[in-house]
Amino acid sequence: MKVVAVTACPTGVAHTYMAQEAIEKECRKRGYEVKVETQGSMGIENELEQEEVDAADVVILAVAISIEGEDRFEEKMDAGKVIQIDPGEVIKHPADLLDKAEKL
Amino acid sequence: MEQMQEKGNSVISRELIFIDEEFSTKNEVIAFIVKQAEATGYVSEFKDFYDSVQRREAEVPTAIGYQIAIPHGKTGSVKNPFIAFLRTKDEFQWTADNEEMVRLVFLIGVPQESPGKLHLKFISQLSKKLLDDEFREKLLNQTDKGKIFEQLNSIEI
Repeated sequence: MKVVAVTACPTGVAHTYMAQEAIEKECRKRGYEVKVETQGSMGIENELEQEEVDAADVVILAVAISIEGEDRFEEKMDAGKVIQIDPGEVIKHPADLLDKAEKL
Repeated sequence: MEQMQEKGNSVISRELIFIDEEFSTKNEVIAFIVKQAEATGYVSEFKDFYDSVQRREAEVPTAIGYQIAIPHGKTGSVKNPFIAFLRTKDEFQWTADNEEMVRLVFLIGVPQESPGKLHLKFISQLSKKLLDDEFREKLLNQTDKGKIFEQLNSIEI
């Protein structure tokens, strides 16, 4: 399975990166391909290209603020392949999130 | 990989590490740490930074599970970016309406204006490290403050 994700939180110093780590860790454990873009205080890092989004089975938007480049995910949204979730939830329960992603 | 070693201007300070403190409420803990941060010169105005941290808490409390809370504020009264660490003697409930129990508190202060990417990188790397079971276990059991300082300061960026 291929997973792409964006993480972002209001201050952008801690939750953004913890959510990234939580998603990457859980995906690695399950042997999924994963790429997580962070939109935090250091700007946009690990930016997702449109092709990478298109190739993904699931998109996770672990964001508590509005993000840059949301239009990249429109097609996936229409296809029902996008999960929107609070970054805090992802940090606490990464396994639940990936269980949900599998069922999409 | 290089490690962060900026003398006199470090994100982690021995003076902002506290272990087995007898606090049992979020407000006490935050007020205590902010006062120490002011005393050590990381923060210039207690009230401004305290309010900033509490505003963030009011949005969404920062207990993140794993017995950890990461209250933080970004404001002009933060003179140098820092992470203070406080471990309480006993775990306590972070907020009344949230069952999350906490023993490890990392209070993060970031200046309003571009604190420098190296510092931010360090803070983000340390935050990620908190999801590492072994790293957390050490922080819960270590009795030597100096060792905690070394552990926190050894994060690779």
